[in-house]
Amino acid sequence: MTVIRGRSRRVRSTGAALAALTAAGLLLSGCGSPGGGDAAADGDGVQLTMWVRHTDGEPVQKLVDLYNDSHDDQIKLTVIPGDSFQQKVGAAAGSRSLPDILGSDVVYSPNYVAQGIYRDITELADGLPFKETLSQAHQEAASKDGKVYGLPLLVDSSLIIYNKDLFTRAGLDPEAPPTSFDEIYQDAKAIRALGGDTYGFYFPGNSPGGLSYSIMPYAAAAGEPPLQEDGTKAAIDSDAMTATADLYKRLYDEDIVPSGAKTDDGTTWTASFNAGKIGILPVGTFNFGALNADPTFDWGVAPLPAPDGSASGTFVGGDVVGVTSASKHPEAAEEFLEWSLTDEPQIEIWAKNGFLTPRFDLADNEYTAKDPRLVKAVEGLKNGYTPATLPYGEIFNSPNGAWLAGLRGYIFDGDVDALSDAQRAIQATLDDAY
Amino acid sequence: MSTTTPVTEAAQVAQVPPPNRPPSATRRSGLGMLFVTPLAVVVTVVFLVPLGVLLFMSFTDWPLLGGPTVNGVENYAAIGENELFLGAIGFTLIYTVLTTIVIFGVSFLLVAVSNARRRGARFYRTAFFLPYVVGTASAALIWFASVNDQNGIANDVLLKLGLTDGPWGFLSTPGQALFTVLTLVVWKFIGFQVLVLLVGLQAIPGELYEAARMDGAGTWQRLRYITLPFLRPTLALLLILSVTGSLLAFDQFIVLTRGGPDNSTITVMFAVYNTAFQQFDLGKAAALSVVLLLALVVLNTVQFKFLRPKED
Repeated sequence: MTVIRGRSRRVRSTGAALAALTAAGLLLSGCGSPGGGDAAADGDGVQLTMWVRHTDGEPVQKLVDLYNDSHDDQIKLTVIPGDSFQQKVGAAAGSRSLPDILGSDVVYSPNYVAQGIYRDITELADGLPFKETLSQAHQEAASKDGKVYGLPLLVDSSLIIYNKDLFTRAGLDPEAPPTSFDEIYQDAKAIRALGGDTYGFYFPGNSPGGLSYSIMPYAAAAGEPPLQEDGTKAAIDSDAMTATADLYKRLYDEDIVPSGAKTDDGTTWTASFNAGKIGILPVGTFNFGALNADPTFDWGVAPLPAPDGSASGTFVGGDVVGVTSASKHPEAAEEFLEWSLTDEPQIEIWAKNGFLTPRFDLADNEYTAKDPRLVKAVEGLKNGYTPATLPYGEIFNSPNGAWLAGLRGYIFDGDVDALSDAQRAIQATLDDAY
Repeated sequence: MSTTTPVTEAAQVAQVPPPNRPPSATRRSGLGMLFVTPLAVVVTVVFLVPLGVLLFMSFTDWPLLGGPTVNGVENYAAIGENELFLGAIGFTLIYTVLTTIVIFGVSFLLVAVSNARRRGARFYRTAFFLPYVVGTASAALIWFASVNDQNGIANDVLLKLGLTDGPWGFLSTPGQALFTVLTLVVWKFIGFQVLVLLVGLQAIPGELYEAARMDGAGTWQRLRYITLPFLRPTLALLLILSVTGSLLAFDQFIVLTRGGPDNSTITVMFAVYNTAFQQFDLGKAAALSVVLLLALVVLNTVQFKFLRPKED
């Protein structure tokens, strides 16, 4: 008995030692392999690596495919889920394994520029003949002290999408979308009166980023943007923000919004609307593709209004693209950046697939002109607002941050002090960062 | 670590060198060192070095982007102001107690079902164990999709059964979110618990029960004086694994609840992650980890002390 047990133990420990050796070998070889950038491609071109956050429809993959088909240089694209983008970039920056080309959410780019992740590409940017017509918000977010570190890659903007069929059924004018908070409430209420699982309004109540994108423009239109003075001052408990939270609270309390809104972290933001069950949805141009792909009802767009309807606004979002300071092939990477802004990719990739063109001089192209809703979205960009601050992600995109806690406290829990609590917490974070 | 202790003790007993042969013992220990080297290297590379880095980090101001600057014990001093972490301690303890009680309760039932010598017992054993091979993150994603208020199957089932007249809101209140996580954890981990308990049960010699029955012992007495004492090491092992695992719970929360609703389901590991990867403060996160590590060492020491078999 003992002998057998002894032997079996010895056999096991030999196996364990072998496994350990193998593991150590794997570890060592794993440490040595770089994040990318220096692999020689077949042919004459260089192999470039590129990271970008996920966007519905994977437009950047289409862009890169077109580039690879027409150039010797080849780009290997990695799409990163939005949730883990910041962590991945941060970790890669720490271990010097960033890709050659990095596309980043426009709201994160001021921080990346400040941290020296991007190379100075002022020369390239200043040489572009259409520099004046590139998205201004993107250019500002990717510049520092007069130097340019990134160029616009993707542009999207937030707006109201409404279901014209439901407007008609509820006895409303399908060509007269709501232009103030009162009208939003009245229209949504009328549509909810149709009953059943048809609701008037929807918002992703547990999605910090979704709420920033669709709520901030109300306040910006009223002249009280939530971030002011170059991102050093917060205005979360302003009159406009309070009016917004009041409207959302009322819509939720009166069952005009489905109860699922409370737990929606953005995953099902557009699901019910796209299924024809929601009247009014503040969302973004990113949803156009899905609606056009499978149109089962007629829909229109309207800008996000100030509470009293006196003005309108939009959150100009999207992505900035730049060459990282870790890149071993900066010239080849710059070539891709320059090419991405030329007519062919702008029109045949962005416009054709229903995205806005970061070059506004191409906004009246054949594809965009066909869809009056896109034209309207492009027009809205002139009232665009892009909030920028160094700790943006921590405050406005974190599911555990003060922004989401404040809005949820006010809207769902009826805590009237929630917004002023959030204001205090957010201002403290900003003071820490600047 | 804790799981190996009984084996190590047994090994120590077996390896006492025979008396009167000291030279041989010396030679063998040299050879032994050689055999141990690979493991020592691995432990150094994957455990000791990172631990050293962690300690160093905890004394620096280290943003995720950018380099470290030493700032003394500032990170440790700041723990008292970290409301997220302090709040997480209470929640984690509640979660640990609930999970441990529920998992033990359910696993006793399932063991009773699958230990019986009736048809299908093997089927039950396999069925109970299958979820264990699913990764926690994948399992949490399955749950996440199933309990969605708009298109989750769990709500459909409740509706069809007539138990609810709208989406139940599996993640909408702190209590419901905790309940949903508990169902996931029980489904996911119960198989391992049942398996280990079954092995423990079947290692008890049947003669003991026979003898006890001859002596007129009832069901309760057989359980109290034979089954439980023999299962003691198994139960101790499971308790330590369950408590340690629950205190370090993270995957199910980051995927399923993301700490919500309203930061009500944030565990201590989640708070550490949040500090490092949402607030990008590696130094503070490292300090929290060190504190957590010390707490776990103390807790496990206490558990070992109480659960060690009594010397008769």
